[in-house]
Amino acid sequence: MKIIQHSMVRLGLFALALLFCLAGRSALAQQDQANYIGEKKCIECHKQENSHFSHTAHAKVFRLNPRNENESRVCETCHGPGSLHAKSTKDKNLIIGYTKEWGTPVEKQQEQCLTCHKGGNRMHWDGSAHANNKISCSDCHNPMAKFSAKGLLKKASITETCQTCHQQQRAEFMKRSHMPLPEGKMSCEDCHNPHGTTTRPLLKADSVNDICYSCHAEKRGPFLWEHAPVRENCVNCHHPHGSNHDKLLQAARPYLCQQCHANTNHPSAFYNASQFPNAAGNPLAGGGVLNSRVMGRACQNCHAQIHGSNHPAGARFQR
Amino acid sequence: MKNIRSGRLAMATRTQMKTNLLATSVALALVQMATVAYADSGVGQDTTIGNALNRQPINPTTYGGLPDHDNIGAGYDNLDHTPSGQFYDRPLVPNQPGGKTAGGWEYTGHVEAGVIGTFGDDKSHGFRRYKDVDDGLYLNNFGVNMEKKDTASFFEISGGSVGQDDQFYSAQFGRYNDWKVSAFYNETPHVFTSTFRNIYNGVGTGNLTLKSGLTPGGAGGTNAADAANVAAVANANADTEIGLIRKKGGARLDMYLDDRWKLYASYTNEKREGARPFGSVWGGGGGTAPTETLEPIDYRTHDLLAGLEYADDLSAFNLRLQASWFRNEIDTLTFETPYRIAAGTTNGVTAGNFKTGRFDLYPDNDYFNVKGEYSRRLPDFYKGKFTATVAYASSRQDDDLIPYTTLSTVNLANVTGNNWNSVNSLSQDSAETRIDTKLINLGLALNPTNNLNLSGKLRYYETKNFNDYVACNPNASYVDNDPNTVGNQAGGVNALGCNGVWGRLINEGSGSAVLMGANSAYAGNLNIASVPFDYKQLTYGFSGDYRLNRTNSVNFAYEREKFDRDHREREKTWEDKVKLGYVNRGIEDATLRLSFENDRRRGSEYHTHHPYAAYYSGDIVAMPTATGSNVQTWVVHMNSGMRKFDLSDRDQNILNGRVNFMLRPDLDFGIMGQLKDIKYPDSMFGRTDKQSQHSINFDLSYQPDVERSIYGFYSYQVASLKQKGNASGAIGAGALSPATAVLGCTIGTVTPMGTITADNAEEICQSSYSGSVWLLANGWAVNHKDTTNVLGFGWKEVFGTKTFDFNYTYAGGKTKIGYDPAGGTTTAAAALAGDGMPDLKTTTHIIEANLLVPINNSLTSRIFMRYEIGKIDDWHYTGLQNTSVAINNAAATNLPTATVLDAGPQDYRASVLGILFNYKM
Repeated sequence: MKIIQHSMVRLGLFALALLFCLAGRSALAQQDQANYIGEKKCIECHKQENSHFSHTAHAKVFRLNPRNENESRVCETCHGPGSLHAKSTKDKNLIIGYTKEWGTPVEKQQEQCLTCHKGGNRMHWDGSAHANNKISCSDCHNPMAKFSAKGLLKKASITETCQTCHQQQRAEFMKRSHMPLPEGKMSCEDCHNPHGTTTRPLLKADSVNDICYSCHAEKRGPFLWEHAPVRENCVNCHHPHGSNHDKLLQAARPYLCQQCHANTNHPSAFYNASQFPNAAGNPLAGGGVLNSRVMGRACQNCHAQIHGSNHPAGARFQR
Repeated sequence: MKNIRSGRLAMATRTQMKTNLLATSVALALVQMATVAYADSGVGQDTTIGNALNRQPINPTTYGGLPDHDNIGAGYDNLDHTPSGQFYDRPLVPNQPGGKTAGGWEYTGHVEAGVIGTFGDDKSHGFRRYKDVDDGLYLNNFGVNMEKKDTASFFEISGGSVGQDDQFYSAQFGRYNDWKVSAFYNETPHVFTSTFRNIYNGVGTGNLTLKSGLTPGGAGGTNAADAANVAAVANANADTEIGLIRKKGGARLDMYLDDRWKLYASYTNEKREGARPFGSVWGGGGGTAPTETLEPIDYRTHDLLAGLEYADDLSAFNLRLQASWFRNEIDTLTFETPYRIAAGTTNGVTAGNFKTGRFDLYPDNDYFNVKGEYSRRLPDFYKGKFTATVAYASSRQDDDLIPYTTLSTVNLANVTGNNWNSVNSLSQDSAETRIDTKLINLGLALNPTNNLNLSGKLRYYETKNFNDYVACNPNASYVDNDPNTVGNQAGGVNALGCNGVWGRLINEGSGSAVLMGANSAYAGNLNIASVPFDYKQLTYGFSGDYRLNRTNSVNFAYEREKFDRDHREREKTWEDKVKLGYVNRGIEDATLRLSFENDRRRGSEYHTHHPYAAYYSGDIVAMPTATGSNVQTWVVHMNSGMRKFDLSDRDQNILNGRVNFMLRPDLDFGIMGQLKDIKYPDSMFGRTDKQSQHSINFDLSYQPDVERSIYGFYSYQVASLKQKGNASGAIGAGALSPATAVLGCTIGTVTPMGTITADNAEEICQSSYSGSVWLLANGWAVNHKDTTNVLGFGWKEVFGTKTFDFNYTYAGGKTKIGYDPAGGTTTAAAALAGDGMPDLKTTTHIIEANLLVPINNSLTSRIFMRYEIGKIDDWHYTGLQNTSVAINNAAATNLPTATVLDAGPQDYRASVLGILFNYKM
């Protein structure tokens, strides 16, 4: 019965999706054809824009060493031919703009950017999480001024740019243990390619572990004795952005380890607040019994080589 | 304060040394740059260069500039927004070129330096974790940008925190749109603790010897005396900082071969040096005198990357070659124990003979990856695009193995030819491990109409583990020739290509897990071989996106993810993921994004024992079947009610919502929320019932004019998680429940699930319902509730030519752990345990402020402060702040229950004040 109910829910969702697809109508505006007029004509009106744009990588490339005719058009390389816009500057259908106020469809904006920025790191843009959510290139980039040292970003850094939307992750990086993003030593792009990848979530490696090994190469191994969840996915135990626990762990030890280990003896034992030492290092008065599995690094007090061991005795990761 | 990290200097000589360091560091950095890399969004790390005081990469073009009153341009609306409705920043007025050389190079540049001072608990772990600030002269940052327009050449260099452990440098030069060489050098400190009570000499090396006052193997008196000595030495060496520094540099070349072809190549070299808190333990079953040690870090990683890219209007092609070599300059860690360790199931060693233990540290490894990507637009086939990716990678390590022990006298009662201190006791001399991976990803995107996008994908990823190590001593044999135990033992047990003694010595021989090693009895749960974990992952699905009109679109996606794992409890799992999304960019001045995802994971039959059976001794010695035989070690690996959360059935719903709203032309508001519910419908133990992760985030940005900008944000996250367990064994006397014994796992025993036979022993003995090994009355439940509040606001004001900014961030985390005690807990312990652990709490406040006052056109003064408050309560260190040695009986005749040398994270209040001068060329 449950299976039938579940299938019905899925069928309903699918039907709803199809309904949306079939019921819609096209309303994309078609931009009229116009002629290229050259950047001098543009600058006649857009002097201020040019004062900032001139410092950008686009300006340098387009003006000092264009590789083709399109690049040599400078302003019109991105904004499209401007003859009709020059005649009717308020008509937003006559020139491609990259702001919400201007309203050029996101698809058109992307198409324009991908004219030059095709292939390479954007090979998997189509169908990516950002593309499906109608994120425009100009949601992250602003090529009109040199806001960032590199990448023509809308903010001064990659991390700030990403966090304008990813506030949840911004909060995670403020937790007790975190990757050093707030300290300026990493950026989101160390792990993610926002332009699309073959590995979720937009990871720039073939697997989660491969991206972790990029900085933690010592854990790549392979080891003589392997720990199954470690080998398969680092995220089984760690929150990659930050955690309220030590070492970016998903939960406090020893409970985290006990979410998989229900063996006999100490792995399945019940650990609790009666097992701390007092200030003298002895059991708490009134029935306390010390247990090394709740102190310090808990299970890793003994199982120190938890990522894998190369010692012949290391099947339990103790050497 | 003792400090094992490099670069630390005594206060008295710090200022003088800093001057030297500054010069040396710049020189070293420039030398490194000649050989170093810079990554991009698609491959490689090191995508940002900076530090805690320079979180934004140095931009020489605008550094220190004032906001431009005319914004991007007069022709624009006063404030512009991204297509999603977020403010674009106001641009800063670009710095004017400082001049032009005779060779035609225009240059812009600056240097910002001055004096800083740190105050309060500035040596605490919380303050120093990823940054390095000290009293004295401080070169905060510098940057130079040069350009020669007639040749389209450029050169840019920047850096900062010169001479400190978080220093950074970046350079690039080349010809616009032709070729570029970029280089960097970056140091990242990572302090693990500032309260380590160090009892060792040789920290950071592979040889830890005990400090004066301690004797390897114990002093020969009582265990209590040894423990007291350890405590005394530890307390005399408190507050030692333990950490490491990453020093990484690299260089990268990017070059266009023509309008379509581009190549790149990079090399990075990373050195990590320092130490981190580590464990150690003795004995066979574990738990004997666990004592904290320090793992040395002396790693070097070489990464080589090369790629070729092609793109035309129809096709694109990427080829990437990657190689990485990790080298651990310290192969093993030998440490002296201050305790009198006794041998467990081995002979030939008396208490006190175990003076040193030895770890085999992370082995060297090599990694290679070759990846090809191809895409082709199909303009005549529904405006489609086909994408294919193929990758092959291999991780390999073949480090020499070390023997089980350094003690030649360790022997086992039933073994002849004991050679455990020699690699002759091993089945192979080196590790010979390798994991190969393959990735195939195919995608097809179609646009049947202008408003409809359809796409399908198929992804296959495979890891293949070639580890076939067996724990067999081929040069030893058994003494016992009892025909009832196993065949002819005179020459050892012959299995898996090895004839010898099976199993392993543990922890230098203070324990053993050797088949029939201690006597003629044998067991089925001894590790005899490494388990080569690997898996295949197949993902396929399709998605659709339909634009309802210019501003509205809906999207739908279905995906099935299948895992086929070797040697895990569940061979196959499959998860169906359905996602529905809606994007509306046209609600007045808002952008709305909604999505809902339903995931359902199921799998093949769950086995708690089968997957590993071939790797335990039960595979080579038959399980006894006679009535009365205890077969627990053959059939019990895990409680059969346990469902490991990465394999268990799982139902998951995720609702995401995001709104960006332009409340006024000068006021942005954003709200983002996520509700995630997870259920584990088939788990009796492990993660059970329901798990949730919810968050809501608010953002506000107000930019009324060029002189003023204000922002604020707040994030709230709450997560809950339930888990259950079942303690094994009997409920003892004095427990909450009446004393109850387990029935045992012996053939012929009558249990509530039936009489145990050889055929049903696994089913009965692994179940809590049988009372055989586990009693349901010993069950326990733990509930985790994790909440996080993060609040921030900032204000920036321009007063004429002066600029003031202020930023505040608060982060508070709390984890509440409640539980229902196991029945086996004694009444007294239960009363002490209460209904939960003390809350784990962390609070940080960070205040930053800057005042920039121009002195003249070239010189600007900057007064800045950063004030941090950190508070932490962590029960892992309860009772250990004053003593490192925890002993479990009043008489203290036993070895310590634990020796935790790290006193744990501490509360702190610290600040940095500085006055810097920015000189523009």
